[in-house]
Formats: sequence, C-alpha cells, structure tokens
Amino acid sequence: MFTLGRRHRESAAIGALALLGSLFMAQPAQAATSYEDDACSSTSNKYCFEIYYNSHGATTGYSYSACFIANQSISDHYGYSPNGVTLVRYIFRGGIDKLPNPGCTGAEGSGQALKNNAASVANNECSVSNRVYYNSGYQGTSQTFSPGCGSYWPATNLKAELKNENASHKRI
Amino acid sequence: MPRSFSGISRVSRLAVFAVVVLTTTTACSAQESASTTPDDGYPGAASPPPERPVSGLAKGLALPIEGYLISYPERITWQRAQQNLWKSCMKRFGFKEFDPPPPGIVPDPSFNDANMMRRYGISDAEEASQYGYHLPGGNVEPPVWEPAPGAEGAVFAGSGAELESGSYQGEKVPEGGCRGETQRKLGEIRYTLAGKVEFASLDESKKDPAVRRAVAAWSSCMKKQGYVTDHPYKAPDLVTSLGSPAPSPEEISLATTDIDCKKKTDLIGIWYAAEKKIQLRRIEENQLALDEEHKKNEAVLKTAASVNG
Repeated sequence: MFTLGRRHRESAAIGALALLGSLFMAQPAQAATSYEDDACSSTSNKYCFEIYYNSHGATTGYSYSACFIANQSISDHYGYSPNGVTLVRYIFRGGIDKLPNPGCTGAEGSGQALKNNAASVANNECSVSNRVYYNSGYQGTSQTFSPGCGSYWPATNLKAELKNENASHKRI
Repeated sequence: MPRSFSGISRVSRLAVFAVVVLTTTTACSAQESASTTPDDGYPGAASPPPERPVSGLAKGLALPIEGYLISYPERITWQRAQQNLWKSCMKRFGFKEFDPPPPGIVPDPSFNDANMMRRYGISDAEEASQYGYHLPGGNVEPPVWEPAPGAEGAVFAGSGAELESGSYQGEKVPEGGCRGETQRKLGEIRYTLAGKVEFASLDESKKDPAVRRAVAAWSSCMKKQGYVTDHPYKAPDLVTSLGSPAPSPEEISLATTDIDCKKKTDLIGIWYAAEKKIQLRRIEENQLALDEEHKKNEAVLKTAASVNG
C-alpha cells in the first residue's frame, strides 16, 4: 500500500549537539533547532531504511542500538533548514515508536548526531535499494543495500571506511 | 574472470534502454553474458546510467575494480527476481494483488558503488551551474510501497495473528513466509572484498604525493576565489543548502568554482591515475579471492535471470 509522508521531530533541544553544530559547521545563527530521528512514512515503521549507531551483533546478525529511519533520500545527514531560519538536525534514537523488535531498541547512541556516526544499516524498504555515501551531496565512495522488506535480518555493517563517515544516502 | 569493464562486453539486450551499447567482441563467454546480462525492458523501466561518465572532468573514467562490483543493471535484475519470487509465492495463498512497483523506474546517477561521476567530488561544470551539488533531475524518488497489514503481511513475513499453526486457510506457510522462501531461493549478492579494494585504494591514494600536491593546489585555487577549504570532500560544508529542495545561488557559485579549480589543477585526472595504479596492485594481491567472490555473485545473478525468464 502507498503511504503518505510524515515527519517526526524531536523538538527538545540537545545542548551538546547544538554546540557541536555551531563549532564545526558553517551554519548561520539559528533561531531554533529541532531534532528528527524518523523520516519514514511507513505506517507501522516496519518498512524503513534503518541506520544504526552501532555494528550488528556478531552472532545474531541483528542491530539493536539507537537508529535513524527513513524512506526518502537524504542529501546531507547533518540536517536541513526548511526555511533558511530554523534548523532540523538528524539524530539517532533508541526505542523508536512502533518499530518492532529488535530494531532500534537499544539506547546506546540515542540523541547522537547521524552524520559521520553510523556503523550498520538494515534496508527494510521493499522496492528500492539504498546507497550510503561518504560525502554529502551523494559524493565519494558508496555502499548499496538491497531491500529486505521488513525482515531486519541480517543487518549489514558499513564497510570500514564508511563507518562513522556516512554523510548522505539515496534510494535507487 | 570478472565481467570485463572495458565497455564493450555488455550485450546488446540492453539496447531497449536508451543508452549507447557497443556490441560484444570480448573475452566474456556467451554463458557468462547470459548470466549477468540484465533483463530486457519492462513496463516503467528507466534508462540505466552509462557505464562511464559521459560528460565533465570524469568523462570516460572507469576503475579496474568496477568489473568486480555489482552494476546497476545487475542489481535491478536481482531485485526483479526478488519481487517475482515474492509475487508467485503470495499468489499461491490467494494474494493476487501483491504487486510492488518495479525497481529501476527512476534513473540512478551511478553505475555502481565506485560512483565515478562524483567519486572525487562533483565533476560536471554544466550540471554544477544549474544544480550546484544537487543531483540533476531534482528530487524525484521511487515510490514507497509496503505489504498491507493483516493477512497479506502475515503470509509475507510468516508470522501474525492471521496464521494458525503456521498455516493460512489450511495452506502451510513457508518458514519466514514468502519473504523467507524468496531469501532461500535467490541468495544474496555480496561483494565485501571488492568493496574493500574499491575504497582502500581511494583511502591510500589520498596519501599519494602527487594527489596531495593536486589537492593543495586545488585548495589554493579555491582560496583565491574566497573559499577556505582544504579538501574537495569538505567543500559542500561551506554552504547550508544541500538539504534543501533546490540549490541556493551561493551553492551554485561554490560548486562552479570547485569544478573550475579541479579543471585548472587536473585534480581528477591526477587522483584517478594514482588510484588506478593502487587498484591494479590490490587486485593482483587479491585475485583469487576476488574471482571466487565474483563467481558466487554470478551464480546468484544466473538464478535471478532464470527466475525473470
């Protein structure tokens, strides 16, 4: 079934993230920063591309840590400015609502920035592959993940060089 | 041996797509071609990306490892087989409307994970003058689709309240549902080693003296235009519009300068030459294991091609 877009935003300010943003990014002074961990419109959140903070379990093949979910391409894992004034930052979150076990149940990494911070993924979309890029704007080397359509297994670790170097991803 | 990446081995069944396909004359056997050639056109199929960039500073560039990576048409073949197996299984249980949108209906910019068009950052001045660091074609996305909740989802996944003792309406559901059955029948494409060589060469090339000199020259060129950045990969961080639907004038200006400086310093040509040399060595060091990995993927793709018929 086709579903409508939905954005879930965490509006609670996270001081450390805001500070990091102001230190390292050429962002203009922001009037307001909000945080988003769910860019997936799947009604049950079962069929999303999950990006995890930690690697998958060595024996289980599952990833449990906090995650970011999407079923849209994202050209900059840092975030975006919807109107040039406010800023939306992408972050990981543990225990994302409605997501079935075991995905994203762990708290580790919750609240951390998505960009350059991920270790594994599970593509649970059904009809597209998802490709993760080393740089924002779909630049540099990349790694592509076939659709698993809600199976969550096995999660795949990002190749060594993309680990903590994820900057954008595209649905293909 | 891997499918040749010489640009002349891909068979003309691709001709239904609007791409230039040179006809075959190479070392690839007919059997190999049959097992790796993507399917003919199907409703909604978009043209696949060209094997090598056709414009800009990366025009014509291809790296040796690309012959071991999975190409876009091969990926689409695999995904089509996955969907065909899902559908035929679901049909056995009466779900005749189970019909995900076909893969490959929105053109992809990259032929494979090497991402030659943007491997060394953006490379096409004309594209940059219109789109900045954004992709040409804007924000067109493949559709989102998922199984319907309830009985359809239960039979597909092999679990749910609608199943009774592992059966649906008296019919035994395969372990893991139609999704599990498909996984077992089709197998996965894995190119872990090829992926490792693909990136390790990029990483190693960054330390190459000629590449370092070219990057420094590029950085100095950028500075003359008012942009302080020490690496092309970091250039997009100087603007904030990458996540916006359209590029800002500042982004276009930066992107145009970025490519102009790459052209003046021959950054892409120098970087590519260094990387190619490293890759040839790394391929030689890993030849047997790479061939083994490739052979396994050939077998999976052969299964996929026969599923698609």
